[in-house]
Amino acid sequence: MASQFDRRGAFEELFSAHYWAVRAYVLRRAPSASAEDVVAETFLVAWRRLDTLGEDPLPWLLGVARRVLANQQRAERRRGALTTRLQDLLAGQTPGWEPPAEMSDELAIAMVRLSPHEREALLLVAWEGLDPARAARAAGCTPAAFRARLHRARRHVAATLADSTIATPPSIAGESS
Amino acid sequence: VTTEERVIAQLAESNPMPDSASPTAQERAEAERILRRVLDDAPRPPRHTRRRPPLGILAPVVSVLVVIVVAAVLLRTGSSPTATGVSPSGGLNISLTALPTPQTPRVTATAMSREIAVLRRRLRSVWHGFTVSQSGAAGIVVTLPKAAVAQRRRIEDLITQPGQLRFYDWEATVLTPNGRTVASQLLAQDHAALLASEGANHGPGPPGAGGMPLYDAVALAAKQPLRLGRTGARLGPEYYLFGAPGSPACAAAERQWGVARPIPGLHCLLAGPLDLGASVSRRQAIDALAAQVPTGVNASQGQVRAVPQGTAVIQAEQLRAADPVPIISPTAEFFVMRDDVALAAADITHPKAGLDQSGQPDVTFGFTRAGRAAFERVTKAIAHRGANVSVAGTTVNQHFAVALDNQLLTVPQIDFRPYPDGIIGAGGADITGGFTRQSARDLATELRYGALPLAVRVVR
Repeated sequence: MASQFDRRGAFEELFSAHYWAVRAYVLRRAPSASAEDVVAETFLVAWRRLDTLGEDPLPWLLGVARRVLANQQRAERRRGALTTRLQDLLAGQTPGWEPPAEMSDELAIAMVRLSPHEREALLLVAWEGLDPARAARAAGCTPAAFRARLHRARRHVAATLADSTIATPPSIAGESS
Repeated sequence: VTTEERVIAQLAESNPMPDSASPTAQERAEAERILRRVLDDAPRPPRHTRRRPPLGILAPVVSVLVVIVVAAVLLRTGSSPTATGVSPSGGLNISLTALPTPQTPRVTATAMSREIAVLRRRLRSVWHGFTVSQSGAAGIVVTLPKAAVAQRRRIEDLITQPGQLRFYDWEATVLTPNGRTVASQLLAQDHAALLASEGANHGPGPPGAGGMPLYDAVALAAKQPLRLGRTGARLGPEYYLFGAPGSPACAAAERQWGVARPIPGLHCLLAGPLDLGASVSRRQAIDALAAQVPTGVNASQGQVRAVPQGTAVIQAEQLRAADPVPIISPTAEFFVMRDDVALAAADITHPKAGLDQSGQPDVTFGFTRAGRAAFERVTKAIAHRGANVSVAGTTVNQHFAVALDNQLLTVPQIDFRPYPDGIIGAGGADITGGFTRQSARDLATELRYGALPLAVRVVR
């Protein structure tokens, strides 16, 4: 009986310490409508794995949130319209990242062109404010691999920003043709 | 500091949820709900479960504990417990009065509830956290607790747009100063026609691409024959009242509206444009114009111009959406168009702003069955004309135009080489290029929510 309460107590402590950080992580990457589910699912996983969490559980929690988010977006895509899926296939890119309204067009375009891994590396540092060692744990890779990703991502974004030209005249075309 | 080093800083500035934001009462309630939900869903601890205590004893203890911890979470993180309704940043309150329109001649309770529904839909697509409520018979109050004062203008514009959206075959409808369509003069390489079709630097549509001052445009439009048909956006004439260059009436208008000093020799707008529908006499129209003139001006000091049904005067595209050139500005430019509407707002479905394959902002939309047929018809005509006028190895693509009321929004080209017989609308259409993400979102919003049943005016 004591263990049951210890466990709940430990969990509630974890929740109160990290809820807002996990929620912010999710809201930065997903529309608010689905955020609540993702956060709840993340903490449910944490409840099951409570005994295995180490000293600094936040990077691990963010890693779980990332995977829950990806699963949810995959499920949404399966439900999505055929045209949307075709469009994604044709574009050859992983959908599911919508730049925030606060971001300039040039930066948003540069970010969309990154691979999901590279984009996540930049955002963990810039938005979550994690240092590379903790960010590597959230991204689920080694610190060395993370530093390489981060470096590549920064170089790509800087290069795109340097030659960004968005002043092409508008044209209209068919979808999925 | 290299560009590479600035990337992180630039990204940090665009963080949609900075850590410093303190949670609202609603967000704290959400935290409580999620904790409850996880604890309700949580299975009993695996493996080393001992004998479960009888639930009857455990349940009250657990729930007391939950309440204590939830309270601890909330106390620890909550820092603005006094805020009720209005956030620390101030927020916006916008008061509106609903006015009758030709389509809805009386402000009824039904019209008001539809009006409020359309306003809510419009706001919802670009804004989170707002209320729209009726106050009195014709009053509407929009409250946006999270909005900044700097955003007032954009939100007011979004709310007050009546939203008559029309799609045209650009070259077939736009007129040059000689009163002929651009399309009919392209093969002859007419200079004015080429300028209107191809534009100067930014493609067709913006200022500097063959548009003219308002008075010249209205004068040209007023000379056009009455063209009755079911395709026009208007059922009657459109009325304008102008003051003579340098007249006291123009000086009064300048004082009242604070417009930039008129360019010498230009007429100024004193009232209008007014679209009063089909069954209004010229006398009644002049009375309605008289009600709009600046203080101290008599309507008899102005010249009335009526643009007949079947012709439209449309303002050139706005180059800076955040700082639009008003219709009364002496630098505003206008196009005269045959009002042959190819598609209307009701013909399109699911407009959406996004990013295209190369990461550029775009607007996609689908069609109703009738809309698809109309879109295929008009794009086929546009593509065929592009092929016809592209002589001697040149490529002279032709254009489609989207206008909202008297404002041109975008004039995208149709590349006739990949689309020799127009665009098959089965998978929808995609307008790309020339957008910022904000302008793409604005266009998608306008495409999504057609006309407001009543006009609205902001009450200062």
